[in-house]
Amino acid sequence: MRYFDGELNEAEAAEVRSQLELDADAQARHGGLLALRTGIEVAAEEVSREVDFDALYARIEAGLPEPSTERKGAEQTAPGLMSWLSGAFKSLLEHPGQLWAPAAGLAAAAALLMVVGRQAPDAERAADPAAQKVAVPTKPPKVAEPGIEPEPRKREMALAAAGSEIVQVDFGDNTGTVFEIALAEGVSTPVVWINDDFEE
Amino acid sequence: MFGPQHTRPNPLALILAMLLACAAATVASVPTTAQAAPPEVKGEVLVILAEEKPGAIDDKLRAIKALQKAPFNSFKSMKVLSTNAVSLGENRTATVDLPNGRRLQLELVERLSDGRHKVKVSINRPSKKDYLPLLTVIASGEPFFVAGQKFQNGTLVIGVKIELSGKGDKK
Repeated sequence: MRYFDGELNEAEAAEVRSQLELDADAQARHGGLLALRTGIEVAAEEVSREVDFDALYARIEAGLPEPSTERKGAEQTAPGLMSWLSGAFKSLLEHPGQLWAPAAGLAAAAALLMVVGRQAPDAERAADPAAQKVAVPTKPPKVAEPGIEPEPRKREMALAAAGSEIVQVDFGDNTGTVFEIALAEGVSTPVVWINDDFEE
Repeated sequence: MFGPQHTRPNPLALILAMLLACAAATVASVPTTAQAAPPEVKGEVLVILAEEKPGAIDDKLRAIKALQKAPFNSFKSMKVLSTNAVSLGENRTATVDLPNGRRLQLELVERLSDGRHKVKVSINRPSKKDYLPLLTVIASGEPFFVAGQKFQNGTLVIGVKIELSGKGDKK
């Protein structure tokens, strides 16, 4: 194949040629390849002769949409913006005195960030679950129907109606009694009564 | 640098300044999770002298239904000795001096999610370590009572009212 493609040097090609003269099968294969190449080249020439490439390109161009005016405008303004930016940068570098404006902006940004940063510890404290106790009422208030969010005033009234309750009492060296005074249906308030014999 | 400038301000410098300011303002306006300090819990301590001998019932007490029921209905006269507004908060206790020389102390233990407050109540003698009594109460807007101390031929009745919170902040 390399001989057929002309990739061998002269010495190699001479060697192959001598072998071809001795090998009838190899001659037949080489001849077939030559015939095939010739056929392809001839066919391509004939086909290209029949095709009008100028007309083909004209038809392709006719089928493409015209570039829009906005696109043209963007193509025109993009270099302008870039050149303006580069010019502005150059001017800024040449006149360091004009850096006051970005410097002032930086100072304002730093000041604002410091204000925000000062609030951060409170935010962390609020977000820290260890810093908060989870309240679990020992007696859920008898307030609202499930699924209904009471209005604030109604909720307060309902909670107030739930009453107070004693969690723990320690009378120390004294004795005492805890009463429950019923105020309304299911609502009571406690009284811690001390048996106090001490009087100042 | 601070002298008269004859050059026109560089528009790019102005744009940069505006962009930086806008960015900083945006960062600053982002709501943080910082919490304001929880509001103080307001309350009132009513110190009443109740006696079994017939007498007047203070007009201020007529609205308190609990005082009209047992065990208080055995008292025939009631007089308000003092009304004390208190405010409780984290690390802030309230004390009320009682007429018998003792001192009532209120301490906020917890803000419950339902708006009530868990408070610790103790009655001490000043400079004494003993207490009489020490109790923990979940207080609603309705007053609870600590009674039984002897004073001037009568009995001290202490009504403690702790207001509900609008929302349940936790201590």
